[in-house]
Amino acid sequence: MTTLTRPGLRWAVPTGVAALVLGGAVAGPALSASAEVELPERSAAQLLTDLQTADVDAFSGTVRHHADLGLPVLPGGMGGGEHSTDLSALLDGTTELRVWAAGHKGRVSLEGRLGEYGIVTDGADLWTWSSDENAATHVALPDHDGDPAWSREVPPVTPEQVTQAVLDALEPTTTVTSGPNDTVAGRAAYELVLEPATSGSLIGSVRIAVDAAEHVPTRVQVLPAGSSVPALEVAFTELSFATPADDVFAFTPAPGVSVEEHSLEGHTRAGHDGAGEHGLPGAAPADGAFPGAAAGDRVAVVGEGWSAVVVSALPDGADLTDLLGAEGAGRDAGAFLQALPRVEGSWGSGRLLTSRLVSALLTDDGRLLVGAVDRATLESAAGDPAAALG
Amino acid sequence: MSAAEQRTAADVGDPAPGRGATPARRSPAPATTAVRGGWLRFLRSELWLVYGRRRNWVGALVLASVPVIIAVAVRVSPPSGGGPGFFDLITANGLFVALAALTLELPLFLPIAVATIAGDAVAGEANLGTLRYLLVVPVDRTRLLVVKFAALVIFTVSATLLVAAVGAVMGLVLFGGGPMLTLSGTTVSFAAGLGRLALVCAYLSICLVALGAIGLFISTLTEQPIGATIAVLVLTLASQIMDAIPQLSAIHEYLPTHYWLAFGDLLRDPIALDGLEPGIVSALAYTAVFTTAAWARFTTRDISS
Repeated sequence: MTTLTRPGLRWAVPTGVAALVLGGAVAGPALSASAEVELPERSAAQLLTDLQTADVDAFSGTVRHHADLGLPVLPGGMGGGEHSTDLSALLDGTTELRVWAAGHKGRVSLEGRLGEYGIVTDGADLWTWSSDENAATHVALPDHDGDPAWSREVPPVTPEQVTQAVLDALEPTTTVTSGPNDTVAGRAAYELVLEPATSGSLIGSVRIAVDAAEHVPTRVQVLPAGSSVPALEVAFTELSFATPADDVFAFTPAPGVSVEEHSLEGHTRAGHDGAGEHGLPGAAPADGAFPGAAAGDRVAVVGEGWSAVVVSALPDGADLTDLLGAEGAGRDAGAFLQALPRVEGSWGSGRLLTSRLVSALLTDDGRLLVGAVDRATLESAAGDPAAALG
Repeated sequence: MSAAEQRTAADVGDPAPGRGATPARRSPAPATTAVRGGWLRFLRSELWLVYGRRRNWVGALVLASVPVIIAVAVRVSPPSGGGPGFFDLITANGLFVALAALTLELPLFLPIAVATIAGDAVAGEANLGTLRYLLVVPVDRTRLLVVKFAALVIFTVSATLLVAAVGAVMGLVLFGGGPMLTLSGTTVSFAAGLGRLALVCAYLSICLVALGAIGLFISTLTEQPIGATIAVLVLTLASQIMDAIPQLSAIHEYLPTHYWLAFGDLLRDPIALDGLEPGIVSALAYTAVFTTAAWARFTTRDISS
């Protein structure tokens, strides 16, 4: 009491504490972000080589997935929202995933607030787990003895896999440069910038942070044309290259958990068609969120590279509401479609959905066109003879 | 039942009613001869004030009734999948009664309990007119506040443990124990499951103590304990509502209730510590800011009642 005798001075204590806390919360990330990262010069081509020759067998970490696609608000219950364990949560908002990998073993956990959706494989079996459903699915994996193609079948979830998918799509239509160095997950990283050389795409650039020491991608950002705010970002917030303990990859369904068996032969089981195309039945949302993908052979691609548009026919006799229709949500989906603006042109008429990164056109004659392109490109694709789908 | 009568019970053996008449019983030794015994006696007296009140007993009964109701309801009609929180897991392992009860009581019941005690801490004494006598003794105001806060922490921990313990006992009796299912789909041993439950209680206590610190500060601003309690509750609910509005996502991480449900991270396999860390930091920050604010306010204000 002797040092702080003046009443006014005492208020300086809580004020100081508050300032310290807020300052730490605001300035902390800002300081580390603005810190200059000094690295030896490396060209874009060298970085590409680094990426392909990266030799990392095991890692674990936390991945932050942030999507700001600018999609219209989905009707109640759809889209999951923050802290959901529904995979559709990946469409909008921030989601945290924990990942572990060691050789052919791997695990991805989508962490909801009081739930979890997980995919785990120990190389011999693959399990998916949903705590909300209290249910698991099981697939016995074929013996793949070092088959290099195997690892490429995993759906793109980690930055590493996303990058691989992007690199596969690299064509002469792309300008590749190197960007400013940055720090990702506390590690110095180079940046590789891919930009479309053609017009018509909604994508401004794809930025890939490449770890300076291990040469693996640690962050992928997709920026819409004319924007500096990523529409999609997948980044490690924590990353370790230590080999995770084996029991991380072990999964034994507890008593009382309903287990659905799937077989890799005849992988076009009803309700899981969409997943079958990836060769990973269990990896898809259990509801088969996009029945339209079941159209199978009635799919065409118009244009190429960044301005490619995928055209697919809706299943015969499908009501438009089926497209978004989980059961019971049909009415909501109908209302959602009604709310989309109507467009028409020489190609016909339909409803248009636009977002920061993706446009979709649902024509009245039952075709769905989707692409990372602007409206004009989408409409001209709709009029393309190749999009008529016989 | 007035607190004054309760006070009589606190000062057992003293014929005079009300605290105001018996300040000396409550007061510690003068500061010059302050010893640990004085602190302990002071704290014991404060705890008696909290735990001795019939109103608080009724509150505890309400807190404890939720796990009982859950356990009996699930026993009578087992859920067929779904249900909030951990309901559908209860039949497999009784420990989930405790977790389901904590999840259900976290948004409102536990905050009510903490807000009641915190709101009462200073404003209650001022309202009854006992604060003035207490300070005349003289009791160092800082010391009084420290003891009030210590009692608040003890109460918060005990309220959380009460819900968990009643839930665990009811669950184990009605459904049995055994290995516990984690959110990740794996199972851990029963002992590890108990450990996880204890960690959940510890985490929730830290979160609720932060709320209590806010309440303690509000309690120094007013002489109406009910007003302070309601203010804390309004704050809690407003924080939860704002947390549910996606358009306000920029401020979500600063809301006092934002990280409460992160206790689920303790039920994963392996435990996701990186999800708990911001919750603990946030709670400690709120506690630090508002206990010091309460101190600044309480040690400088005029006590006239």
